[in-house]
Amino acid sequence: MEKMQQIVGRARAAFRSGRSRPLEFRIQQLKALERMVQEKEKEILAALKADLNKCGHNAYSHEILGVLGELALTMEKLPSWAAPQPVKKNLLTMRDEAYIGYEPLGVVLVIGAWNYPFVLVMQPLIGAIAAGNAVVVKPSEVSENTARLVAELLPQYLDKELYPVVTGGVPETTELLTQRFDHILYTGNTAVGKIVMAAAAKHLTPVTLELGGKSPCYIDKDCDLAVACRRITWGKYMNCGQTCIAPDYILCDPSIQSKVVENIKATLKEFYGEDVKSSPDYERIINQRHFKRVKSLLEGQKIAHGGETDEASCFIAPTILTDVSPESKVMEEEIFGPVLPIVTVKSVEEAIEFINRREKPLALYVFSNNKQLIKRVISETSSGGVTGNDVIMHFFLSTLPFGGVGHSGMGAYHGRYSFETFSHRRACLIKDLKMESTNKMRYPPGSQKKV
Amino acid sequence: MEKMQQIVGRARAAFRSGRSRPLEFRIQQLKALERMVQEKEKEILAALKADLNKSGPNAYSHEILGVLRELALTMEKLPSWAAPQPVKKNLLTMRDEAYIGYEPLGVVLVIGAWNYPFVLVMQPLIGAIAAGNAVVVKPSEVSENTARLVAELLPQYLDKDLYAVVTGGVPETTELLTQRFDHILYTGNSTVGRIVMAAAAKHLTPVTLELGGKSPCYIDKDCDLAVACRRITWGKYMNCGQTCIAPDYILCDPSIQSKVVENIKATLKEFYGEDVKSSPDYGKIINQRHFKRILSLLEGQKIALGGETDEASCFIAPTILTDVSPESKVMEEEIFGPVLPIVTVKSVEEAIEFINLREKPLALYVFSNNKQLIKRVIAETSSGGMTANDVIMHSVVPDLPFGGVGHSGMGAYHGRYSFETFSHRRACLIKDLRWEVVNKLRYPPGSMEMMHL
Repeated sequence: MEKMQQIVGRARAAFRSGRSRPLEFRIQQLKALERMVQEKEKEILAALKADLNKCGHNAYSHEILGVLGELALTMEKLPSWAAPQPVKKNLLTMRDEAYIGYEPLGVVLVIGAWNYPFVLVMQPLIGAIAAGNAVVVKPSEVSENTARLVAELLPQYLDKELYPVVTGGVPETTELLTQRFDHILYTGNTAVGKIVMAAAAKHLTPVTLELGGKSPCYIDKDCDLAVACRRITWGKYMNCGQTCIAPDYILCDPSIQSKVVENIKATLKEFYGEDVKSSPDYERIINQRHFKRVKSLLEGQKIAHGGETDEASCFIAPTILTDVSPESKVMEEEIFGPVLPIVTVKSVEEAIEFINRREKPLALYVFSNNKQLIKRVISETSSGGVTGNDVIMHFFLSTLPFGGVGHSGMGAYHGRYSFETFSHRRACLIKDLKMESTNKMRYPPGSQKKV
Repeated sequence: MEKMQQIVGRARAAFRSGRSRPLEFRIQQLKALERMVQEKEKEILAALKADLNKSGPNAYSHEILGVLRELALTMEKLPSWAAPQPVKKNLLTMRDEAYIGYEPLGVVLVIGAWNYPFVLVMQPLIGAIAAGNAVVVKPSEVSENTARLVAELLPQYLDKDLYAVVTGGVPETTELLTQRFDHILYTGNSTVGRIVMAAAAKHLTPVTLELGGKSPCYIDKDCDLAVACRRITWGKYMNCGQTCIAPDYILCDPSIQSKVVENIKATLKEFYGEDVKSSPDYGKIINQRHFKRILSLLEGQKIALGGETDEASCFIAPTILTDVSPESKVMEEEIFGPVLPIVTVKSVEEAIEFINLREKPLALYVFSNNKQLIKRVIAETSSGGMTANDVIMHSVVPDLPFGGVGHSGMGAYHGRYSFETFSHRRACLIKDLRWEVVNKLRYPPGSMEMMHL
């Protein structure tokens, strides 16, 4: 489509003008974004409600708060992040200036996802702007209200040519991916991640892929089950299970399985009341396709709690499955829904083995009073990130990089890591033309020189 | 080929055994590599001589010395590099343990190049071992003597299953690339770089691509030309121009063009004597194919110096071309040979514009007494790395990352950056089960009023 070429071409010309490079400009754009989030809070919350039935409280704390925090952090730290970093010198370079310079890459592409549709375009966008790039933003068309809003709002607050929004579905995204970018950050699933990387390979474009996987949650016998289960319930069923770092499934000893179910049940009542369907805090599945997908995972399973569904409203009740077989469908792919399988294991060794037979997940959780056990699970497994004795929370510490490994992704961002992801780290050595005599050793003619 | 699958499978099983993870094991393997380099120095130098006619001193200082330094640095620093890095916490995490843990990725693939065939497999290998991985090494078949030697030596010194060497050409490499790795570091050209990345995409394997490009060298009127030209001559003609960060072409004012030629001429005589062909310090073109490729770049050019060739010995004399047209063939691709085009520009603005019209190079050089001018060129261009008032040298500062940008590559390595390239940086947050009351705000049922507190 000529249109994509034009949009990207305009962004590139705007980048070449050099106006996105001065820190003052970048901070001014970030300030405008901050104003946008504050002034349009109502509209943003309304879009999130329309897309995912996210209530104001959840939408604010999961999407808006994080964005405001990232903006404040970035505006404060940008001068120090962007400053040249001197490096240790050696004997040869004692007199020289040696440093790493951070430079914009050029025109970068941010592809958002539908589950946290606002923050998942905003947070990468903030880092990309901070690093001095032009940014093409492609929100997920699945969360169509938020996509439409982002497309309306960004041009009202930001430089229109430097930061265009492109909307559309698979054909538009495919066309967009034929264009040349200097970095692509994609959030979504593994299958499309491969397509994005393959497209990027044609232009030698580096990529950051924030994908998913089945994030395991091991509950040790030695732990405060009530607290553990409350935290797990919060992270599992927020956004109706549609969180890339939700605890996907539980591993625990058979002897505590029913206690786990009881505790989660009790917490669910605390959180959502007797009638989950009428709780304003409980979201909906994004669309019919995913509703059907998640529902089909229940087939043949032992439903210990929940299982109620309503197709018309894409409602699936918080559900727990017990004695789940590792070979069943629900244990094949990332669930991305409010269905929590429990697979019983007889020891932490078995749990570790179980986890290691599968692809490296985006997150891993382990609950135990025994810190040694926690450290052991960490050292004998791998995952994008880990939280011990809670879920989700490593995502919210901005000094920790957020990203996957293996099939759960490559690269990382958040805070300073966003800035670095969208920058080129240029090695710079500035010598002078004096002291030429010190170079004599390196010039021919040679003989067995002893160094 | 079943063979590739077996080799990689064995490496993966060896990795899964867990034996490459303890730091003691990794350091022991690195120590063995160090012994190998020291004990087999003669054989390594002989292979480099056979492949590229590299003289002893050149081979030693360009390949062996660097490897020994990297080994010493890595063995010394590994405990600190591998240690968990605590991160600054916020109010919510005050009581918690928050840190970045460095973990091996698994089985990584290192694909070497033919121009510095020893160091370009060894340096990545060192980083990959240090990070705790199993490593499949694929030396370039073009530098066949060094490839053969690496294939013989590594199994004599290192764990045979963890660190496998695979030899062969395009068919073998293509087969190897169908296997699944946890990281691939490739050194070579952009065409094959694309193929490597496309193959990696099928498995979602992250890649580090060390590619090339036309590294420009701007010489300002205000500079000590004799010194500048000596340094440029050294970096350009070492290894017969076959260096990924060699100054590819010169940009300078027309008024100093002939002085530049004179100075380089004088330096060449200093370096290689009257008869370059008989100087032991002057290398050769790797093979006939590249010889022909470079020879063809001379067609229609004004040869100010050199131009002599001898196909039988793959000899091409140090050559300078003047008044080169930006549209000519020699200005299209990376030269990778001892041919130095000079393109004249009337100002530093024109030089910057010229550079920016082209793909981002792996290296950029600028010579000037005027530091402001240097800083300006840096600020208004981009490149993998750069050195001012010299060439090559940014690649030997241990704390500088070495890598490209755009078509010159992605990712970086050397020293600590090698270790990080071959590691996973895992975000770890360890809380405890107390203080649950602190979490009340985050749980439903919620209210908007609480949020605006």
